[in-house]
Amino acid sequence: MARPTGKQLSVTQQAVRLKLQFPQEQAPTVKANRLIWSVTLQPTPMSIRYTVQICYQHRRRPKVTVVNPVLETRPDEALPHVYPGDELCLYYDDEFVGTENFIADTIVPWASEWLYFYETWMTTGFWLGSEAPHPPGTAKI
Amino acid sequence: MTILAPTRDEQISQLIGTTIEQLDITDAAFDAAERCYHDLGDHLSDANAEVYVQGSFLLGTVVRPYDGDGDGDGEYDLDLVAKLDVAKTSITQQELKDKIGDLLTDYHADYDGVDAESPSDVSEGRRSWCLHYAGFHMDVLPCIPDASATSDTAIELTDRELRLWQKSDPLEYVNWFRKQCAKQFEEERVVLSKSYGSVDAVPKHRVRTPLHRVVQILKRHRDIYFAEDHDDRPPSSLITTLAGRSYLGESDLLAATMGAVQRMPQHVEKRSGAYWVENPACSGENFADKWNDYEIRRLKFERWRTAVEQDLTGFLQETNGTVALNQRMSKAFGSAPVEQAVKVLGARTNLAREAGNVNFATGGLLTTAATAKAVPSHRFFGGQADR
Repeated sequence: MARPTGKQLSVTQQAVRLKLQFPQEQAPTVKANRLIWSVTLQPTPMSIRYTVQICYQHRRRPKVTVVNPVLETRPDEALPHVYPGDELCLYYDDEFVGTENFIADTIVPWASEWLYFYETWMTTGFWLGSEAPHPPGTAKI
Repeated sequence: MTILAPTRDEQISQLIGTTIEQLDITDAAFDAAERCYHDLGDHLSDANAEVYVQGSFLLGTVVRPYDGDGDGDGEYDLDLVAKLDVAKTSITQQELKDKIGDLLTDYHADYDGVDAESPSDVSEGRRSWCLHYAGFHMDVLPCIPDASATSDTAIELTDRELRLWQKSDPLEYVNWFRKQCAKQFEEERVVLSKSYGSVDAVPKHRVRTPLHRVVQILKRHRDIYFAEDHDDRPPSSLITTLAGRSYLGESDLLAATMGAVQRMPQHVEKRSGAYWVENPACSGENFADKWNDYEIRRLKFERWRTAVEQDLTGFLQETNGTVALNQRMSKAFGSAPVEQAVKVLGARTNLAREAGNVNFATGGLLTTAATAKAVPSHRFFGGQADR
């Protein structure tokens, strides 16, 4: 992944890239160094279309949630690979840096992959995507 | 091998195909059965009896039997022929059955528990003897050569319920079946030759064309559909013959299976008012003979055939996503092989992803097509522990 050298990526640059890469989607709303954007993702031809919302504040971790439909879970099991608030866990450590990497080229395809592995998890109970090492003392599901 | 199917139809075919692969016999189970029947063959050859494999093992259309609870550990059923080289005039049906029965009983008595290749029990069936082993059983069909037939492999067999000798030709049947998919058969052998060294080294019973898969799919669907109704279920010989006659060379599994069930009725004849599906390798043998004795079996066959068609249509029309598709498929083929198939496909996708071969196309579609945009590498972090 080529990272732009020199100057740090701004929220506006992130928004411009999203608009450029996803012309069929509504352009992101940018306000006070913060962007909000929704995208429709369908990871496989048989998959339903998911509306995924991305909120990004400069230098912070992008908050990625599936807003439609409400994600189902397996009986008596919580969603895997989510932060509190069912925000999708998409990367580990510095695999994404908001001032260096475009959301359009990383977070968005990663969300599609998350949805793919969510679907296989729903059927099998196993998360089949590569998992990052977990912090000490936390159980791996 | 397609990793991420580009269309709905291909995705369904991929899932059906991977599901049926989970129900195919494993190499280990096949080798174990092969050792057992070779061992039996060695012993029976001393008594001038020739032992060989027939049926689904030789055809390559074996499916793991459905045991009802879905964990898939039913016993495989291996069909063997024990051909005694004697003239019809010198032996009666009963004598032949007894002679082979005695040989098998002696074999069992001499070798019981001695080594892994020996059976744990011998029992008698209507036409055959059954040898019981760990994980499978072998049905041994006593027969003599049919001297009146033109085919070298034609046989005559005994039947407890019928007075006349029954004619058959299981080896010629296998030849017929392979001719129905001759082009695909050769193509598949070329593919497999990479693991066997040469095309000629590929054992024919290991080849799986789309027609083989169609037969396995239909047999599996039959096993589930008739799980509580064993007596009236259509026999594999009938399904295999109708599928073989209906196959038009489709390479896509969904299209091939749909075509097979839709065309099946065209291949059921009426002869003097009787339903007739002739054994293509043995004129006069009617695989649908039971339909003429029990009307209900024909009706249940037709209901089942329609159910297959409806299930396939249901897959195609499913609009509630992959999870709903997987559920539909589990109802048709059992949840264990479907879950296993989804795991296999998911793991394969992840390997491709790690190798940088999964790309991102318009609409969020994941693809292995190189024209789409590459997805940078990442790992899914966190989990419930963070909550």
